[in-house]
Amino acid sequence: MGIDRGVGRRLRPGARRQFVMVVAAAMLSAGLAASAAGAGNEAEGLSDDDKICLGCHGTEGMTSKLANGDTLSLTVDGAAFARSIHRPVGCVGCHAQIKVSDHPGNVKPAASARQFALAKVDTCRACHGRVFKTYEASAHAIRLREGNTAAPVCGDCHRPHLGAPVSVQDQQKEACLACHGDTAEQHEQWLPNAPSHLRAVACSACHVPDVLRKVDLRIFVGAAPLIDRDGSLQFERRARAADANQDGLDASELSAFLADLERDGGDISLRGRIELRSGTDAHEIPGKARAIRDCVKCHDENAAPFQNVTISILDAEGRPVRYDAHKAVLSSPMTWEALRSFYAIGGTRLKLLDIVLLLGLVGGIAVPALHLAVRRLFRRRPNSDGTRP
Amino acid sequence: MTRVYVHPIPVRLWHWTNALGFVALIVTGLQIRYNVLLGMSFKTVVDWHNAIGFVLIANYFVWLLFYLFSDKITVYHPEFSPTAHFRNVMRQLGYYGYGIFKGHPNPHHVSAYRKFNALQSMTYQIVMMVLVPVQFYTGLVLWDLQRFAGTVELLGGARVVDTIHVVLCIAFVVFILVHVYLTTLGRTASEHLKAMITGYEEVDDAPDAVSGRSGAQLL
Repeated sequence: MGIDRGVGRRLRPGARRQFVMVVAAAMLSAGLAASAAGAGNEAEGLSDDDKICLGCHGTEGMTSKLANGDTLSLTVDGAAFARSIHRPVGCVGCHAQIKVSDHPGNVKPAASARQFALAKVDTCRACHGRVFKTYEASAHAIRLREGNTAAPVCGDCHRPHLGAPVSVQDQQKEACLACHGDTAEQHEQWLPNAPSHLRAVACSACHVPDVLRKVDLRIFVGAAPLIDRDGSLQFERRARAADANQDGLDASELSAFLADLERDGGDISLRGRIELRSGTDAHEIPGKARAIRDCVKCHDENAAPFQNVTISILDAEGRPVRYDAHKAVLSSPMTWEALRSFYAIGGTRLKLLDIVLLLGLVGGIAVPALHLAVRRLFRRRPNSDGTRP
Repeated sequence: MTRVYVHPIPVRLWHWTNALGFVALIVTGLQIRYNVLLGMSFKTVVDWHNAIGFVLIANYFVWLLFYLFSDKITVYHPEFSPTAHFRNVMRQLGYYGYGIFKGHPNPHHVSAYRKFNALQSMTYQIVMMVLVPVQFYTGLVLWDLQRFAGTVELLGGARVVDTIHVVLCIAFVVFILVHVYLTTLGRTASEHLKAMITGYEEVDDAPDAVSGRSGAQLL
């Protein structure tokens, strides 16, 4: 919602009174917004223009009735927007067509909520051109070009006004399941332990087949992810301090780092998730016929996702803060306890057990063989009384 | 020499099903874990591993019910004397570790109700009452982590369950190798093997008077 500061000079005399009233209302709203901002730090960083917009649009339950009867929510959580990655762009960055002079009176409402979402695609495209290139190749975009207006567009997966990550890597399940409601049932028909897979593998990790994947090990305290609410945790600084060679944390360094975090209190563990290395790649999701169904793409120690490992926590907005780790952390006895809930058979197996198995095989063959050899040896030698064993 | 019927049909059926099943579970388990045999679909191997596991769980109850509802259960404890049992275990170990080389007689003599020596009896009870049930249960949990989420939570996570499952698998690999070797310690290398097929063991009439090897060494 932009503010055209020169509009007063161009207004017809009859409309001048209306303009004054609008500006007065806006200024009142700005005052309200400013006072709201002053009440907490959440709205800090918003421009004055944005505060004016939020003077009205920050009101809970503000809606618009569209031509087809749809109700479009016009409420924006100002505090959340102030923390969002889009804050620097401001309201006017995406809503440039709105002029305070004719707002809200002369706004031409969209025909439907869907039409509104479709129209907003061009707004996103203006900045996110590279992402759009990948999206254009996706099954979603193809459906849209074929005329299926229900095919997902930006706003169906992303919430640009929210402080939560715009990337859907972390909350991808919710974004995908919002449309693909039968995902659990579909996967249970053929995929062993489907719920565990759906929990530990991002949708895009299988459904975008030809891109780089990785394992992200999210640090948990008890049953909740570790969140650095005010920056006091100094996650990256402490991780760098534990990383002697500055080449990512090896098993021993990770173990020491987790012990360091544990001194802050709570039971620290790692929950792994297979994701794409770049969230941008997730946009090129093809039709499900191309999804990975070959289990050894993960269930093998040389599988691609296990070659790149990060550890992460969440910042106050729910965005991941990551630090690199060596792939050996997935199979080391030193991190076994912390990684107790992340396991891909064959892929992240404990190396120590390989050695125990080898010892078992060697011992199970060598001991009988030795016993047999000693028996034969004694059979050749008579006892002291002349009898043979 | 007397032929003694020591392995009733249910026991033999259970034994050979169990033997073949365990070998198949170990082979498929190793393939799942190490993916060494190329050209085998991971999922097919997992499906086979699960199916064989269920067959063996059902088979376990053949063994359990037979012994629970048969007087043959006494083969595991001919007399309830831990002291005597311990003494006999040590004696049997002494025989395998020394006496057998010197041509001493086997301290255990087989009969229909005493077919196991003390070492066998102890080992089989640990295997059948502890290790095999734990292996079946951890296998069940790994088959459906969601259904057994409580156990997974209790143990700390899927990796813990898997570690128990793999450690026990290694124990069974060792057990099978040693078990097969010990079956060859009869009068002939195949004597005990044949007994487990026919059910009949050849036993000396007066074992105390015989200085040669006698009795079953089926461990």
